[in-house]
Amino acid sequence: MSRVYTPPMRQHLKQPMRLAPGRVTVVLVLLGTMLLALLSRAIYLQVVQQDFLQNQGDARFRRTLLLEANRGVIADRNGEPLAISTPVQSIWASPVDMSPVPAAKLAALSKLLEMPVAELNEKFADKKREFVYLKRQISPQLAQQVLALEIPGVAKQQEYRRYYPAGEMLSHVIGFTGVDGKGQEGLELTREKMLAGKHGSRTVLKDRRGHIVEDLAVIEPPRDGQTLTLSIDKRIQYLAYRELSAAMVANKAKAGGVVVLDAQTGEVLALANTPSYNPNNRAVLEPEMRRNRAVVDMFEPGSTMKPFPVAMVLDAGKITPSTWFDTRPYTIGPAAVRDTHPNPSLTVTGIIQKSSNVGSSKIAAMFSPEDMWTFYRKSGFGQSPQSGFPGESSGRLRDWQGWRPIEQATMSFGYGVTVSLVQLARAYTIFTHDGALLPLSFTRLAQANPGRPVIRPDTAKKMRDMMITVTEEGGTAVRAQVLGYHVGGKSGTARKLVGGRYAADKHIGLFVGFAPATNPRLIVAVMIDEPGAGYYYGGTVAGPAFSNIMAGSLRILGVEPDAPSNNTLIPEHKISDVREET
Amino acid sequence: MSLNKLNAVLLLGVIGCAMSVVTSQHVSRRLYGELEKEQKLQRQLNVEYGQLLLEQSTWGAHALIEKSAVARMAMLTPTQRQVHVITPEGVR
Repeated sequence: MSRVYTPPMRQHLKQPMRLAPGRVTVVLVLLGTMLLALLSRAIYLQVVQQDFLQNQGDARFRRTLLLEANRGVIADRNGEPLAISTPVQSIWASPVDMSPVPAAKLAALSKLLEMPVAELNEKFADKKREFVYLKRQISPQLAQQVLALEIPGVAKQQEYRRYYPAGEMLSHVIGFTGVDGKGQEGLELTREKMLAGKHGSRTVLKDRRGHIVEDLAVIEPPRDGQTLTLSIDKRIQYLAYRELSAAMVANKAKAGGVVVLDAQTGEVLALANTPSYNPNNRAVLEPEMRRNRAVVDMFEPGSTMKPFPVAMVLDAGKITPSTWFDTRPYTIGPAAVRDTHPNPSLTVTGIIQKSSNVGSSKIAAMFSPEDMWTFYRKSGFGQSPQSGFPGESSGRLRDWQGWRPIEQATMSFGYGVTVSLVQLARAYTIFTHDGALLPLSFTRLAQANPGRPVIRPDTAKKMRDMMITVTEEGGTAVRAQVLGYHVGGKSGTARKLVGGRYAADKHIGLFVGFAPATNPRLIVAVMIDEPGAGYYYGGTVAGPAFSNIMAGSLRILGVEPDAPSNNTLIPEHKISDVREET
Repeated sequence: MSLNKLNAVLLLGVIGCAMSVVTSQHVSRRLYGELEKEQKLQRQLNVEYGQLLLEQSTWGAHALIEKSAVARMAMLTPTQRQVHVITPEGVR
């Protein structure tokens, strides 16, 4: 650059810039104000309005998805499914979005949903509604066909439905779930927590078209419900239900119940009641059908109670099975104790075999009311059997302090004390399990519970031997015999209390027994309520059902026979031969 | 001069890293999508398994088999009197 020539522009720039001082101030103030405005706006949005704006943003893009947990399967002890949830579709409509449906499509829809056109029109009538169910819980195939009609405003929604393959034969044990999928009865209700599992969730960002762009938080995976393995054996359950239903018909009875227990573990292998209902179709569901009679109903056990006072006295060593008793009628105060088929004298074994009221009351009188009360309590009477069912009854065993002598006598043959069928069946575990009372279990046990000792093992053995005579020639329940096995047990016939008086024509027929009696595997208790076909003795009405259920169950379990089974026919007993006390 | 060279190398490195981040992000999204698909399939198969179990136990229901055995094949459950039990020691 030479100094000789200077271009005019450079020269011009070299001149000092002169601005009016006022102008500078104005511009600075203006810029400052704008900056301030921006800053305060930013602060306002970031601090004051932050929550609101964040919410608005989240509402547009952030979504929390519910990850549904599957309800657990209920299976029997061999893994056969008894309750399974499976997805079904519900068809719904949004009348507000609907234009009149062409008649042809409406007819097709009505045919698919098996619903009259008029009913459909009624559902579409309210044009303000945005949601109305057309039909809930239909098969996915049918739902597909409905959607194929392409009626605008008609859509489907996935739901879960619980299916019960065992149907009516097991409905009282399992119960059922409501439309919302929550348990409402039976084990579905009491094991709700375990079966339901836990829903998971997932928080995501979704773009305008609904695609998931990003996971915002840690995915909380759903925890599916656990599989509940019951102690029930489906094969035995079916047998029990079938035989009970047959006995109900044969005896024209009002109701009935069966409990099958594993004699060594206390597991419930079958529990059936009639009348029953189909849990898959509960359109007709009367309270009578819903009653889980074996657990809820209390009744006076009658003669099935007699082995208990006998075991108590035998255990104390005061008598032996061959001790003789005078069994002629006698009176306690104003009340007479007598047998309808009197024997002048009987041994203890005879008292059990012939079911003598006189004998058992005399045996019971060898103990104080307090001792007898304690023994009954120890055998589980008057106490909750802890079956885990809603509404289970504990039975009634009044406090010993209020007992009169006649009451102690009647309690020895099962009047004045009430029990439920499961309670009674459970009490018999003291005879089958070496004197220990086993807790009931509706779930399969990995290991048997030792139980609580009530009587000595040798007393239990003597009781078993005595109870075998009940099903032998001369006993009250020959019809409870099972070919090839020794069967021990006790029949019972109790008059029903109607309005505070014992009715002459309303009875409960009972039989509780175990087999093979030399080494018991099963306890079966059968109750027939109000048999109306002319016979009412427990050995007659409940004995045959007991025999069929026991025989079938022993065969299913492959239990080896403990008695000769050389196919000699058991003599057919005339029903009139069977004598039993009521 | 050597400093400029180093800068160039680092720049190249950064570009390389950036590209690999982009690629691996893409791969991870794709794999995630596949995972989603497989999990969906798993759920579907689970559902189908449940339905098949249900179907099996419906067709295998004791009542149904008994009915069909009695009606179609004229079979009978033997009564207790018609059963022989054979033990290892022979008929008792």
